Amino acid sequence: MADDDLLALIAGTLGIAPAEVHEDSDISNTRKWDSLRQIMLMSELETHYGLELSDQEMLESTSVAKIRAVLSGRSAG
Amino acid sequence: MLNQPITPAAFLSALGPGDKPAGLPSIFQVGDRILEIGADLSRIPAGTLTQRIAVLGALTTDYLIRAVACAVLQEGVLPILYQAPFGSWVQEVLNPASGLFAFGPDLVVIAPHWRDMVAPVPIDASADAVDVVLAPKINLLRALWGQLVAKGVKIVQHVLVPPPQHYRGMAERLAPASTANQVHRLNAMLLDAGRGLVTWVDMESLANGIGTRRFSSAKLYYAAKLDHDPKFLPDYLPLFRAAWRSVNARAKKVLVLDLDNTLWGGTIGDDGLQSIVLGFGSPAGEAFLDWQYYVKGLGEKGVILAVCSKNDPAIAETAFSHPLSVLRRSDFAAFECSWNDKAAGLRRIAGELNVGLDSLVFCDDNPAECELVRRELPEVAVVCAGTDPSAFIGLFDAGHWFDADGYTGEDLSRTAAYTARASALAEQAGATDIGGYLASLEMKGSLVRPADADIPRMAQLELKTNQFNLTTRRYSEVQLRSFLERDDVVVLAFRLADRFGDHGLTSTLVAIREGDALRIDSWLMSCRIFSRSAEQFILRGLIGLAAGMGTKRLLGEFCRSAKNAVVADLYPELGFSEKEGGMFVRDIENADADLVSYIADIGNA
Repeated sequence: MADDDLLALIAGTLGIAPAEVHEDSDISNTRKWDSLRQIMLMSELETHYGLELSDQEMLESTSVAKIRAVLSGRSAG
Repeated sequence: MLNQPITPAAFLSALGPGDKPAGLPSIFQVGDRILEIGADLSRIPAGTLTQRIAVLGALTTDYLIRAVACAVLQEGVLPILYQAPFGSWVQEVLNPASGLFAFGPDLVVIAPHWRDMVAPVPIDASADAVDVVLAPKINLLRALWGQLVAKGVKIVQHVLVPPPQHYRGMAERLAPASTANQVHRLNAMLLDAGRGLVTWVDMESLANGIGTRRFSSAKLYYAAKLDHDPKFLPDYLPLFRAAWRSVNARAKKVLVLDLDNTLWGGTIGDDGLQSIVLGFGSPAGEAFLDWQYYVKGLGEKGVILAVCSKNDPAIAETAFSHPLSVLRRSDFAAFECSWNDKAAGLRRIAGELNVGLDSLVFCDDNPAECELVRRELPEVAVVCAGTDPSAFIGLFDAGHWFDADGYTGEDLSRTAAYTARASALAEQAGATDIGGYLASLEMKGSLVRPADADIPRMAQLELKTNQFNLTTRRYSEVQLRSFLERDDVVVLAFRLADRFGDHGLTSTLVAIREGDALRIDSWLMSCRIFSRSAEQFILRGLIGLAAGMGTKRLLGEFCRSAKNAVVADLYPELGFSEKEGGMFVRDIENADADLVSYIADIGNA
């Protein structure tokens, strides 16, 4: 997967400019990333990467870094 | 974004082309913008169609309200939205000082959840015992609906979705007290109690189609108190739109279909009748056959069917004589085959059937034609069927275009009535001369002295007929019966049938002998059968009777009323000359060859 693939997906899902999302982005420092949109973002991740997240992962993957960790854990597993 | 015009059209492009939004993010983002507008109504330009909509749910409604917003937008109306606080759907309605009533909704969407509705009863409780414990839930809903209806608020409500868990399998199915059966019973009781008050969104059917376990995602309930996975909201939109159209009296009425590669595989004009793909022998042929059954079924269930195709009409019609074709030419109330563009064809169909363009749903396999119609006639709903006939039924069904709250007698007779009307119109357009047209109607008439059973219908015609009514004397049943007892009075009843249907008793005439003349005292005719040569048919019959009575002349009167101008010149047109005193005269000895009728006389048959 391309490095900026995830960032573009996050920006597209939240409806913000791609430039507004970077590796340090999280739910507290990113416009329109809130607990409500977190659910939609996780749902889009599941669809896009063809995986199932637990409710725990859905609630806790609230930064680009944490999402990357979940994704790499899955592809390694 | 702020300087964009705030109109439904301005948002629609954000949902993507066609009627199914690309996905949840587009619904969410467009819904967001509509919610923003609600915070500042001054941004809505004058003249924009708006509707105040409140969403009340047992659980989280943040996704639902955005989907409702998009659905209403797709119907061409800008919603102004109110979202009740989480979990307060009952209080909001029962408290007159609530935010809901301060908002003043035109329509509410109620989304209850099974967890609030089922009752804790032992699993061996009887069906009657279950009804008793569920009754308070039904009464609560009745009370909520009553509050809303009293304020003139329209109600749309979700059908309850049972939970996916099976517990002990078949045993659950057999126990009235099982959660699933309680939910089914609640739905049945609610549908019954809400008749005429509530328009339903069948969430259970949507959940079943998707799979209840996927739809009612457990983890989204735990994580966000969502009653279903919002990724299925693109499927919810057309379902909700159908309910919205229904409650706002904007139901679709007509399905307009392309022909080649839409109702059969191949091109009838090029491939010919033997080579089109339809029926057994190939998967595509069987799929087209089933799709034809589906379309025919819609017709039988009250949807008016029409054709709009680029074809030679005579060649196109031959395809319906295919031995395996389920659809027949006579199933279509309008048949628009030409080489003109389809937007023009759809306009003609709407005119011919006397419906608005927004009543039409157009289905075509060709994306270019679909695009043209979307662009030229945004009021028309467009379903692009694609290239896989095995997917047509599922694709079309998912649009919920013709969902109805219930079948009515009118639904089930509507297609026949429209087909008859349109066929007659089409014949008229196709005929090169009026004589050819009238002959093609294959009319059969009878002119007889009425039987006693005819008198009520005749008196009804006397009362109702305003246009073709020469003297408007309006005789009652008693008067008609007394005329029938007199030797000097002729009373006649006329019936007409044609190849499209039986028009029944549609004209009456009363004539009174005065010396050597027979005076037409009253003559009237239903407007359905004007100018079809029934006038000539009846007059010829009357002349025969007058001659038999030994009279020499027919006298005709015209007494002008506010509405009967259509027959002001009837007698001159029927060969009468005007005599003094306003009476028209026609000698009986004159040949009646001028009275040409295209109606075959079937006498008393």
